[in-house]
Amino acid sequence: MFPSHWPKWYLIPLSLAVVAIAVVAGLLAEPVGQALSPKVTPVPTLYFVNYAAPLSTECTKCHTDPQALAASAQSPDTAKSAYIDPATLNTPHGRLGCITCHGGTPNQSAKDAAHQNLVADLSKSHPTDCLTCHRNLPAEIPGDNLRTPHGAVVNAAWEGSSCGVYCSDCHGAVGHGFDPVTGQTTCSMSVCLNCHKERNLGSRLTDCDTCHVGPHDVAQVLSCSDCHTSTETWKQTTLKVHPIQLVGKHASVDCFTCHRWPNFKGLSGVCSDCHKRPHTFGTDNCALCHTPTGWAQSAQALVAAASAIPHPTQGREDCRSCHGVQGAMSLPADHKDRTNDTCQVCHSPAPAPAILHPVEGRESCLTCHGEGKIAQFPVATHAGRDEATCTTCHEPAGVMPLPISHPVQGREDCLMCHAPQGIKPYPETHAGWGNTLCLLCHKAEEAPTKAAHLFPQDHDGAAKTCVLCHPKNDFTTYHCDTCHAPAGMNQVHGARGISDIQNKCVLCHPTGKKP
Amino acid sequence: MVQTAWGWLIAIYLFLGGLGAGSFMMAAFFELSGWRYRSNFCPVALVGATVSGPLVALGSALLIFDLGAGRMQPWRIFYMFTHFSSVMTWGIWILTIFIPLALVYGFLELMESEAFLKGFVAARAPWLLRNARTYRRWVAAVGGVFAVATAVYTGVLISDVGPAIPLWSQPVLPFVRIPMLPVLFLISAVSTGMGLTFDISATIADPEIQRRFRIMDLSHIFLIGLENIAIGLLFISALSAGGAAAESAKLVLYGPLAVVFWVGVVLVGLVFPFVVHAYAIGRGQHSLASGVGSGVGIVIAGLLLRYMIVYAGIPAAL
Repeated sequence: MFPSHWPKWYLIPLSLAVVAIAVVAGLLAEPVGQALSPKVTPVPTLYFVNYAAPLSTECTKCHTDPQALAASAQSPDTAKSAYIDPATLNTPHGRLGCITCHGGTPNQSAKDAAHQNLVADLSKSHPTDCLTCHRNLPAEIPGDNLRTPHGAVVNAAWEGSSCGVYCSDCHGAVGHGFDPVTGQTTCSMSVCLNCHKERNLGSRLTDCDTCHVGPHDVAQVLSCSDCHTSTETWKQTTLKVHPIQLVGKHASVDCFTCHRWPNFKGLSGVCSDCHKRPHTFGTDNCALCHTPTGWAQSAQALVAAASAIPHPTQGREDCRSCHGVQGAMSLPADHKDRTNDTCQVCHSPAPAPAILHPVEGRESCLTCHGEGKIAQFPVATHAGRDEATCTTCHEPAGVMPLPISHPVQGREDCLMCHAPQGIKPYPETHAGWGNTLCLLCHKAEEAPTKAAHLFPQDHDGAAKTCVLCHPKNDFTTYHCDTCHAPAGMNQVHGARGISDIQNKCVLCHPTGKKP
Repeated sequence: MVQTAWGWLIAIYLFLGGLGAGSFMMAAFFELSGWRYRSNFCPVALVGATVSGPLVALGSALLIFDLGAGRMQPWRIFYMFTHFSSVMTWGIWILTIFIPLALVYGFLELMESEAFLKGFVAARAPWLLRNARTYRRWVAAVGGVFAVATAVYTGVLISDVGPAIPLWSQPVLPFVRIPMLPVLFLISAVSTGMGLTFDISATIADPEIQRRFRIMDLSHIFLIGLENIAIGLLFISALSAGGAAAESAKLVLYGPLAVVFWVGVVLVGLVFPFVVHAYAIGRGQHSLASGVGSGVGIVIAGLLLRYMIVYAGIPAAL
């Protein structure tokens, strides 16, 4: 490929150049490849790391056995404090084995021999040992909004000039129960506060913002303790300060159910900030119908208290055209801003009683209806109404009253027969009406025909003498015994095996003849 | 979170160590098999012998530079010669022996092919010229052993970090408790060495060389197959192990390193060379472009393979 007079060693720089190009190409291609690759967040998972666990079996054998500890400890308190919960041996640090952190002599069953060179607190006697594995310790823990003194502690440890704070001061339980993977509490804040106070570090080191990086950005107007009342958990809060009174369910929800995390901004003070209107009727002014005690409860109370609509609603959908804010049919004051589409949410149609008589020729309702008139109406609910409004609610029933099927002349006292205890009582709907009202609705028609009286009226010469069968004109029953003596009838019928015949004659003798 | 202690410098060191060792192995194989003497000039032997020493030395310098302390107090590296329980000490000794051997081998090979050097030696050390072939064979034989050790050591070094980085300590097979990385890196070292010395250099120097050594195509396909199996087993083993090993495998297979792996390693370094060499076997010869292209692909993939392995290391949770 290359000229033959070239020295053969040109292949050497050529090959090295190829290698250099490959390295440069790799360096250039890698960020491009990374950028094009999908991003995944590795999930921290445990992997069994078997460091000094096999060397620590004698330690765990004794320290997880309360009886063995009681037998060898100097006092019950010592035995109690030396006890190790076996479950904690399965935590990440527990799996390293006791020897890894506490030294001592491996695989020695005798207490004194096993405890030779024992290290009670690794972080105090060998401050940098923890740092062998735990590197790049964060100055802040964003998830917990905490500043940490890791920098000062770590630097002091590496420089061998202890600052008096050790890993175990905060993370003491790390090898015996605390599991950083599951995220249990690292240490109680009271540990920090007590330590700061013991060291007399002044208010600067007891102020919240010494350690806590406040997420709310409201330091200009609030201090932490205005809301947070516990030094153990942020979630315990009380509302010392709030621009509006929180009542009902608003008093029990978490702040950030309504407010935006973290700085409380984003609320304009209307219900729709948080609540989505589930119905199409009405406006966004939820307070017209609802209160903070509960959406459903407050609305249901309104529905229960609402009066019925006494007139048909079809064709009258524009309620406010009649029911203004003033006048006889006015709305209550609290209905001022309500809209037509909300009326029937609470008010249900319950039409007024129908007019049971013909209206024609009787257009002046108040001639008969009214206080002290022949037909009363409920004064309390009808106060202020006039002739023009009656048929707004009351409509003709469309069913005409029954005609009077007997002559009226000489029988003007209708109640004599049609009273509740009379021979033909009027319906219950007529209760309290007097004789003067009857003929207003009921019209007399031709007297009943002969065919209407099934039993022959000329029976045995009776010649329409009604009182023969109906003494005292009592037409509710008949009496055959006026002519047919009961004793004789009983004898005649008894001879034929017939008994209990009183007032049952027409059952067998509908035409008045012998069967 | 992936490990951050080792970065590109270590990846390049592992690559150069493997490439240098592989190049030496190629030259030594040609020397010891006698293939070197089939023609007056053997570019495989020349390039393999001369570049291996500088490449491994450069890689070792990067390693020392990466150690940090080596930059400020380079003499501290001598502490590492005495800790025989540490694989790093083994590596120090292997490199300490291999690099001079490789440089000597390179000198002997260059002396053979370059007249001006031959004349220079003839004037000052004629005994060396007289017994050059014998010396070369000895250096090739002894150096070949150390070349294999160097290639294996690059894998042993990071596999020995396990089980802190579980991906790096995955075994060859569940019942063969030999770590996979030394095996994979040895295969890759031979493959990249062959790519540099034969596919690139020899093809450029003498395009017809492909006809004389057609077995090289088969060798490439064999090595690609072996590398495929090793990479596949590594990730199957990692996924089966779960935990940080599986997370590492996911980073490579469909995570941030996926493009580097599937394009840079699999496509460029395995699929493309496989197709090229399979085509060459059928056609009976390479073109200049296919030979050099295959070699460049294999070399680049060798670097990206090591980069990928280093960067995919996720420490086991403590």
